[in-house]
Amino acid sequence: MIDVPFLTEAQIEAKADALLAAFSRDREPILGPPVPLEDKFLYYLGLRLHMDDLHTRFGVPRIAGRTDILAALWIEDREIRVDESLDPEVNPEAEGRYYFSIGHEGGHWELRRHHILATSAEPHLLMQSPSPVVCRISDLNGGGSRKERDGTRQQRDARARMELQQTGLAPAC
Amino acid sequence: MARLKQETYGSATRARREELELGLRAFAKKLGVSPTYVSKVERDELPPPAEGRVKATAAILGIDPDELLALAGKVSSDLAEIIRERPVTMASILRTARSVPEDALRAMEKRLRDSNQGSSGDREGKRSPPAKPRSGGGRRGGG
Repeated sequence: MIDVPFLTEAQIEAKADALLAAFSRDREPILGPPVPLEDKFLYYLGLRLHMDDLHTRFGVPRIAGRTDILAALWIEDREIRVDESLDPEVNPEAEGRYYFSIGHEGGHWELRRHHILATSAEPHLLMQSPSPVVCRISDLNGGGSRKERDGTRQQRDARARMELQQTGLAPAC
Repeated sequence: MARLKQETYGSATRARREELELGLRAFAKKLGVSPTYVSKVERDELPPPAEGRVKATAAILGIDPDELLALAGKVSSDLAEIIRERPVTMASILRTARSVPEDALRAMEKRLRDSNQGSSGDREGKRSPPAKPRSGGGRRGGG
């Protein structure tokens, strides 16, 4: 597991604000909700979005049918995959968590990708295939890595910022 | 029309959708399916959809429907009908055409189209006469 440096809330907020400003400048102004998070913003970041059965993908059983793995980010492939249980067209009640997960992984990408790529390129890790960043509820609810602890905090910030700025994408971990 | 470079139906539709910066969910909604289904087809984890949906995909993504159908391992049902209408002639034409270079085929197709358009005026706008009379409400020929 790759741990990541601590980021203060001010650093995270500054990064989120810079990203929103850059999108407004380069693509279209964000005047209010909803932010086109799942298509225009991800394309702006050069990311693609997919749905997948992540529990099967990672060989983790769903305890009592519940979803623990919400989403994962394959940094080298520039791909976010959200667990198919959060498909908002199949399960409309999961829409909030669906957007949360996309924003969370977008945050990993924006804040952590350089560190993770640099670390995984270190000689003693070169023989390992790049592993995705996996985000689980069990990690978000306390414990877990600094990425996920930061992610919870950043996502909380994101929600607050969403209410204030009516934006959908705030960096996560 | 966009030309396809990818080898599989899934990778081709995925690449084209991303080229258009069309979101997964927005695309799925236009197609009347779930984003999860689109994801699995684009990753070639599920087979391509039925003909109607392939054609709808082609229309949304601006791809030639016959090219996309071929990538899906299918042939448009109207082509099958055309062959059934004149099986000997059409099958012979297709078998002969198989070894004809693309440029020559294109030229031949243009001549056929021009010729068909020229004669269609004589048939009061009908592009081609039906090979066999249709029962039940079909327009009767002659006159």
